[in-house]
Amino acid sequence: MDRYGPDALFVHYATGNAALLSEPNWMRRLLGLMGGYLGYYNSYSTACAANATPYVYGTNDTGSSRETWQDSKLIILSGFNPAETIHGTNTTYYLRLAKEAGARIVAIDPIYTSTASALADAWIPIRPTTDNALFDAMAYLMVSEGLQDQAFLDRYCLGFDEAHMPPGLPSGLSYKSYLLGLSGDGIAKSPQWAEPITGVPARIIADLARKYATSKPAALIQGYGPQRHAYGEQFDRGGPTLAAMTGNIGVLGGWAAGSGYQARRAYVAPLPASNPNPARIPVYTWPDAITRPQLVGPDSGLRGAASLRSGIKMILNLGGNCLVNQHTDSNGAAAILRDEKLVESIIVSEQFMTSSARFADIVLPADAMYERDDLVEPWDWGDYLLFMNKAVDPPLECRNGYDWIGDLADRLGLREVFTEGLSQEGWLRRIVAQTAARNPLFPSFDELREKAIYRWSYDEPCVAFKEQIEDPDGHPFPTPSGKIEIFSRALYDMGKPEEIPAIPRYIPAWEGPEDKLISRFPLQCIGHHTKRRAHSTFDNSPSMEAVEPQALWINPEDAAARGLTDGETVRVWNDRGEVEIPARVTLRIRPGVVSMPQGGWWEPDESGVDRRGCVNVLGRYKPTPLARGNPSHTMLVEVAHG
Amino acid sequence: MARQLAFFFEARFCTGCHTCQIACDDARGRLGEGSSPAKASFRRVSEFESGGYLREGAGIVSEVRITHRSESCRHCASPACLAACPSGAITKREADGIVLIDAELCSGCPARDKPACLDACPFGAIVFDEGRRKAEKCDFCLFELEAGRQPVCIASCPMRALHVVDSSGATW
Repeated sequence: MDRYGPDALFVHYATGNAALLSEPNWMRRLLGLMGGYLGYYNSYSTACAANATPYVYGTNDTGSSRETWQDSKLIILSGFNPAETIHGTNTTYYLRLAKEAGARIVAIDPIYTSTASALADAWIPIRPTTDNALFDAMAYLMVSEGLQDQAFLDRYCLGFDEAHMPPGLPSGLSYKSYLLGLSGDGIAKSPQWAEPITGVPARIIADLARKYATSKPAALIQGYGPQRHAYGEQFDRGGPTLAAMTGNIGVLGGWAAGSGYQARRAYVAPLPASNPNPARIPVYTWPDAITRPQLVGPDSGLRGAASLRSGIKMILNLGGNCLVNQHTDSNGAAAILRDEKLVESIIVSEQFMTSSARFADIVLPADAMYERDDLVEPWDWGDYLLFMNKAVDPPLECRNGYDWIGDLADRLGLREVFTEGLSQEGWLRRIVAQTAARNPLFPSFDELREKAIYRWSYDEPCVAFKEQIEDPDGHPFPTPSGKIEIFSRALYDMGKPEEIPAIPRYIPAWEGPEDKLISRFPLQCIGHHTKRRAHSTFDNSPSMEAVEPQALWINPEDAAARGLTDGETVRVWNDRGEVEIPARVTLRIRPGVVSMPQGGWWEPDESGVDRRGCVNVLGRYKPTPLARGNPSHTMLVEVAHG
Repeated sequence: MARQLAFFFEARFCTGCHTCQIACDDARGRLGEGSSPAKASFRRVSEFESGGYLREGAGIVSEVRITHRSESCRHCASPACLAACPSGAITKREADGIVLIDAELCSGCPARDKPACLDACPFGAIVFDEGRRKAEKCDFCLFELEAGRQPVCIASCPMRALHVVDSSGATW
C-alpha cells in the first residue's frame, strides 16, 4: 500500500462463497478501512447482458416471477437451460408447470440440453454466436408479413422504424431499415439469409417467427451462454427487440427478455464496506491492469479514474477460481501470474488445491459453509432468505474469514474499527435487524435462526414493466427517451457502428462460423454449464465424476469424420493450447460444434497439455467491445486421436 | 390383494439430473464410490438417445430423442430374488409389499461367484458387497417411511417426477 497505492491491491472475483459474511466481503471491508483497493464491475457470468440490457430498458430488472410462465402460450428457451445452470432453485419445475398448463416450449441451443430434452416440443440446433442472425431473420419475417405489433411499437418504442427515431439523425438508421437492407448494405435479413449463417433452415426460422408473433402471450427467455461470445452485447438487445415487436412486454405470460434479473427483490442489508478508491476495472480485464496498467483508461472500461497509478501487485483470491481456470486463455493467464516482476504477492484462501491455488504465494485453509453461521440469498430467482446454521467446527487449522481477517486488522491497528466490537453473530444480528426494519413481517434473529428460512409472500405474480405498459405517461421507462430503446442514441454517439451498433444486429464473430480460421480449426467449441458442477466447484467430487465424467461432447458425424469412438482419449487444440480428455460421442450436440463442459480443473502435464478438460485453455483473451466482458464460447478448435 | 407400494416414474419430465441417485447414495452411505461395484448405487439413472439429423438446405433439423430412466428395486409382486434365495434372507412384507434382504440371514451364497438373487433379478437391482459378502438393495427407505416421510429419491426430485404409488390408488 505504501509503495504502490490502492490500485495495486485487487480482491479478485470469487463466487465459491456467496453468503453475506464471505471472505471477499470481509477483505474488502478491511482494505476499504486501510486506504482502498482497485475495484471491479461486471461479472464472468453476465457482462454483456448486464451492460446491454439497460441500453434498451434502462434497467436489468426485466425478469417477471416464474409462475407467470403458466400463462404463456409459447415459451422460447433461447440458450436458457435452468436444469443445469441453476437460475433460482427449481426453475425447471416452473417450466414443467407451464407445460402442463398448455404452453408449447421451443429450445434454441447448440446442445439438446437437459431442460430441452425433458420439456421442449422442439429443439432448434443453432451454431454458437449466430443467435442475432436468427433474431434478425425472425424480425424480418414479421415485418414482411405484417405480423409485428405496430401499435405497441408506436406507443412504447424508439427506433423501430424511421417514423420513430430520435431527432436530428440521417435516415436509414432504424432497425426496420436495417432488416430490409435499406441501411446501406442492401441485404435483406430474411430467413434465407440467416439459414447458412445459423445452420437453421429458413422454413424453421419463419415458422418460429410466425408462432412467436401470433401466440400471445409468449415468453422469449434468454440464458447467459449466448451472450458470452465475441459480440454478446447484441444478444441482449436483440431479444428485447423481438419481445417489443410481439407486444410481449409488461403483460402476464409475456417476457421482456434481456438480462432478466428479478424485477421484484426484497431488501436484505449488506455487510457495510466502502472503498475510498473510486477506480474500477471491468473484472475480466484484470490481466491488462497487471501487464499494461499505463494503457488502462476510460477507453478500456476504467471507471472512476482517468488512469491507474500502479499495476496490480497483490491479488487476494478468496474462494474463487478465476485466476486461471475460469478466465479465458488459461495458459496466457498462467504466464502472467508466474512472472514475479508483475504480481508480487498472491494470497488464496481455499478448502482445496484448485488451479488458482497453485499460483498462490500463501494458501490459507478456509472454513466451509457448514462450519459457520451465515445468511445467503438465492441466485437469482426465489423469494427467500436462508440462515445457514453451523453444523460442525472447522477442522484442524482451517479458519473462518472474519477470524483471520480480524487478526490481520489487529496487526494493522484496525481491529476496533473493523469489528466495531461485534462478534460474527453480532454482525448477523445487525444485518437481520436492518433487514427487518425495511420488511415489516421479517422474523426476529432467533426465529430466523431456528426456522433457517424466511419466505416473502406476495398476493400476485410480478410482471416486469407492468406499470410502464399500463400507464406509460406516469411511468416512463428509465431510459434517456423514456421509451424502450431499440435504437440507442448513446450507443450511436460512441461512433463505433461496426462493433457497437445503435440498433441490435448480427455481427459475425471472430472465431465464429464465418471466420476464415475455420479452414484450419473446423469445429466451433463452447463450454456449457453442466449439472455436475457449479462452475469449477465439485469438479473434485468422485460422486459427481461417477454420474457424469468430464468429456468432450462431439456429434457422431464429426467423430466419424475423424475416426473417433465414444470414450477414447482425444486431443483438442488450437493455437492457444491443447487438452486431452475422453470423447463423449453424442447426438445431444449439433454437428460442427464440440463442447467441453466448463469448470474442469486445469491440470497441465510437463508439456503444457491439460489433462482434465479446462475449456479456457482453448479460449482467447479478448474483451467484448462494449461490456469488456469475456467471450468464452468463441473458439475454433480441431480434434483428433489422443 | 395385500397392500403394495411402488415407485411411479414420469419419464417425460425427467431431466436426467441424477439427484435421486445421489440422494440415495448419500442416505445409504454409498457416496463417492459410484464406480466401485461393491458400492454401486441402489438407484441408477440412465440415458438413451436415438434419432439423428435431417439436412434441409444449408441447415439441419433435429430428429433426436433423449429419454431417461430412474430405476431401483421394483419391490415386485412375485419377487424372483425371493424365490432364488437359498437362505430365506429375502422377504416381502404383507403390510406394504416392500421386499427386504435381511443382512444377518444373507449367506452371500459362498458356493457361487455371486449371490443367486443377483442372477435372478431381471432388473439388475441388487448389488453385491464382496468384502462383506452380502447382497444389498433398496429397502424403500424404511427409515424414512417409518418417520412419515417419502423415500429420499422421491423427496429430492427437483422435477417432482418420482412418486410413491399405493395399490389403494393414492399417489404421494
